[in-house]
Amino acid sequence: MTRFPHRVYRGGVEPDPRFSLANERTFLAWVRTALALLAGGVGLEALHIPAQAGFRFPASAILLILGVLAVVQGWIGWARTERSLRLARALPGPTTGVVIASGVLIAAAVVVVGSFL
Amino acid sequence: MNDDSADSPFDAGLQLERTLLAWRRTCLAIGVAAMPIVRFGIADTGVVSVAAGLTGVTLASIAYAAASRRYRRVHTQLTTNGIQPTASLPVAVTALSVTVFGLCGLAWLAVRTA
Repeated sequence: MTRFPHRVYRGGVEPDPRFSLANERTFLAWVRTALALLAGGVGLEALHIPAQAGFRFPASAILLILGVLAVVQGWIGWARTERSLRLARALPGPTTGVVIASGVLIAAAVVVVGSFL
Repeated sequence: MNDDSADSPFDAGLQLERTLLAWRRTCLAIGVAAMPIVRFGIADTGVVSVAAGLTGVTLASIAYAAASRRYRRVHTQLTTNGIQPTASLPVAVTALSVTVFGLCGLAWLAVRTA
């Protein structure tokens, strides 16, 4: 049985399997969010949305970067939550989610502004 | 072999079944995301994007089948001795694959606008 990263599994006790499974599903939700962001970033650039290229490129780059951030945050959040479950501590809060949501809003605003110029 | 454990779910909330469905949803999303890679990448990067797209679809299919096998294995283990095998390997591999996906997307954007 692979137990990686070791920092997560070093101490504590086995959590209730239902909580571990819920943690797993949360990670998968982050993966699907990341895929949607990546698809949006690629599609924005590839489909020639009628916005000026000067605005399209930064919006596309923002979405792609947010996509990578989302999957990385998903994994880090999974590891931290698993550790908290094992040590019976409070679960980590939704920090990066706010950053990602704000980033998506900014990218959308950039595209809208670019469409009207 | 206890036949009862094979018929009834591990818990009334069907957490294990829901997790299997979540893996299936995610594998489908990865497979679907791999196809535009071929469609849009082929203009700028040719064969590389075809290879990347096929790799993505293949990995997603393997992961889909592996998720079903893992579900049966975990279900058996949970109903017999209550210990859950950890998800750390599939989670890490999935996170790494999608991260590589995303970095390839950024590289594609750089190539395209250069």
